[in-house]
Amino acid sequence: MSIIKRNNVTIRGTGQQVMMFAHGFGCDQHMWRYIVPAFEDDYKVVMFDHVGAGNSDLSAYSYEKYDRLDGYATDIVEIATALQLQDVIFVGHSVSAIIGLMAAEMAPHLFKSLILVAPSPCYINDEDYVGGFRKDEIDELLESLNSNHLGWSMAMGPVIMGNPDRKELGEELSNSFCKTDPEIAKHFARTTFLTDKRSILPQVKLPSLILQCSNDVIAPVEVGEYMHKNMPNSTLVIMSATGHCPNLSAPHETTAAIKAFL
Amino acid sequence: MNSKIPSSISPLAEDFEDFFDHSVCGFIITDAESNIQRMNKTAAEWLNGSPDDFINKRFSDLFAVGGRIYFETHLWPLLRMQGHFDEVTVELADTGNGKMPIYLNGLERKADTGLPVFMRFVLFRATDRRLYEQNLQMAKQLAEKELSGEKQNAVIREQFIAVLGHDLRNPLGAIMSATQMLARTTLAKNEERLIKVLQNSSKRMHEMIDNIMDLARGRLGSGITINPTTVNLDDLLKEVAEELKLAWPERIIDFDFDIETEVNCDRGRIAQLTSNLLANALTHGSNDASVLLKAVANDSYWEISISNQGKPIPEHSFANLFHPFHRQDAHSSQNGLGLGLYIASEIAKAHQGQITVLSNEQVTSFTFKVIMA
Repeated sequence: MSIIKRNNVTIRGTGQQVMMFAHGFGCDQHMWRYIVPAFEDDYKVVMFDHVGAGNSDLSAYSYEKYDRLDGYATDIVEIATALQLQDVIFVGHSVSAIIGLMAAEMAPHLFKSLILVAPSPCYINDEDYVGGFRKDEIDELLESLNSNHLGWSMAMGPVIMGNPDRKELGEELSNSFCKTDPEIAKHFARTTFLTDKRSILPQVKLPSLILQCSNDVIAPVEVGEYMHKNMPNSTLVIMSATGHCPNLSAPHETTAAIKAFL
Repeated sequence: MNSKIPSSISPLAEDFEDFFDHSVCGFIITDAESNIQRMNKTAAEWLNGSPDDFINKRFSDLFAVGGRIYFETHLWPLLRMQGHFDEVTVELADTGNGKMPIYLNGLERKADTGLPVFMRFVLFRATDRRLYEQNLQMAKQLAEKELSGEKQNAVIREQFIAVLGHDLRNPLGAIMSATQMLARTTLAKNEERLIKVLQNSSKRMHEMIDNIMDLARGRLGSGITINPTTVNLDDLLKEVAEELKLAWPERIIDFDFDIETEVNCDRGRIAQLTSNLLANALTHGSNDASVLLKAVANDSYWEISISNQGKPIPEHSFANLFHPFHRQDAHSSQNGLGLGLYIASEIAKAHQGQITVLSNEQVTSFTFKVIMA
C-alpha cells in the first residue's frame, strides 16, 4: 500500500519551500480550503487525510496502531520521507498540532518550524492545569459516543451529499466533506481526548507559532498560554477569532498571523 | 407554548413574532461566530429559561458535552464549508429537564462577499424518535452478534464433517481390501454371496464418504477444484451409463448425442456429475420408461441433459433442490445423504456452467450447460 494513497496525500503550489497541512479531529484536508490559496504561489503545499478520515484508505486503519497519537505521528514522518521532503513548515490544527510535535521529536531533521492552530496537549483539567474539560465530562463524551446518543458521523453521509449550496464545491460535494466511519470516529475521539502530551512541550526546540483563539470551547486561552510558557522557542498569538477552527471562521486573520511568523 | 393568544391578534393572524416565539420547534439565530442573538421561547423553555438568558452565549453551550464537542469539531466546520447541515442528533444540556435529545438543522447566510453574516438553527424535539432509533440500533447489534455466533457454529459443524469424512476412509479402506483378498480365495456359494454384500455396501459407503468430502470442500474451501483436459464426451458418457446399468440392470438408458467437438473439462468430475444426475433419474423416474441421456457439444456451447418420466418434482422441493442434505423422498434414497445434486451443482459452478431443471407431468430433466467464452 502506498503511503500517498493511504493518506490521500495531495500536493499543490509552485514554490520550493514545503508547507505541510494536517487536519484535526472531525474533519479532513478540506478544512484548509480558505488558507491554502494564500500560500500556493510561494510554497509547495502538501495536504493529507489521517487514516480513517476523508478519502484515506480505511482498510489501513488499525485499532492497535491508532490507539495512540504515535501512530498518526509515524504516518506524518512516513509521508515526509516518501516524498523526500526537507525543512518542512508543519501546520497542524487541534490534535494534529500535537501530532506534529511528536513527529518533530521522532524525526527532527525533517522539520523547519511548527505552526500550531488551536492546539491542546491535554484536554482534561489536572490540578492547576486548565485543559477545558473535567475528567467526567470526557467520560460522558466517550460514553455518549459508545451508546450512540449522538448522530456523530453516522448521520453525516446523506447530510453531506444533500445540498449543492455552493456551486464551486460541486465536485467535492460528491466526495463529501469530513466523512468518517462511526467506529473509527469513536476511536479517534478516545485517542484524542484521553491524550496527555504536556511532557513533550519543553523538548520542542523548533521555532513554533501557537495560534490561540478567543473563546475556544475545545482549547481555552489558558491552554495556549500554558503551551507558550512551556515551549522555549514559541510565539503565542491570541487571535480575535472565536471557536475552534480559525482557519474556517477567520481565514484572513489566520493567514496573516502565519505569514507574519514566516 | 402554553401562553394565551393576546386579544390583540386573531387566531389566524400572520403574526410572525408570535409564530417565532410559540412554535413546535426551537428557533435560534446566531451571529457569524455562532454567538446567540435571538432565540424563541420554545427553545428557551426546553432549556428551562427565557430567551434573554441565552443572548450572547456561544451556541454550543446549549448542548451536553458530547454535542458541544461535536458541534465545534464537526458541525461548525461543516456549516462553514457546506453552508448547511441537516438532521443531526444531539442532546441539550441538562438544565433541570434532563438531557433532551433533539434533531438539529443549521443554515449559514452569507453576504455578497461570501462571508457569513448569521446562522439559523432549528431544533426539533426527538425524545420518542431517539428511543425508537436506539431500539433499532440495539436490535441490529443483537442480530449481528447472533449471526456471527451462527457463522462460527456453521464453520465448526462443517469442519467436523470434513474431519469425520476423512477419518472414516482409512478403516473402510482396510475393510475393502480385506474383502477383495477374501474374494480371490476359494469360497463356498453362500460365502460368495456374503462377500458380494460386503463389496456392495462398502462401495456405497465409500461413495458417501467421497460425497461428504466434496461437500466439505465446497462449503469450507474455495469450492470444488477442477483439472480440465480435452475430453471426448461420447466415450465418457457411455462409460458412466454402463456403470449405472450394473446397478439398474433392468432399466434402459437411451442416448441422443450431437457431439461435434471435444470439450475442455475435468473428466472425473463431469463423470461424477453425470452419474449423480443419472442415478437420480433412475431412482425417481418411472420404472417402466427409459431414461434419456442427451449431449450436445459444438463451438458455442456444450451440454449434458438427463430426462426421465414419472411423477414431477413437487413444487415445494424446488427451492432446496440443490441444497446439501436435501432428499426428495426419504424412503427411496439410494444415494443416502442427499448430496448428489448439491455436488453436481458445485461441479457445474467450477466449470463456469449451470444446471437447470424442468419438471412437469410428462418429463423431468436436468440440463448442465456451459457456454463457450
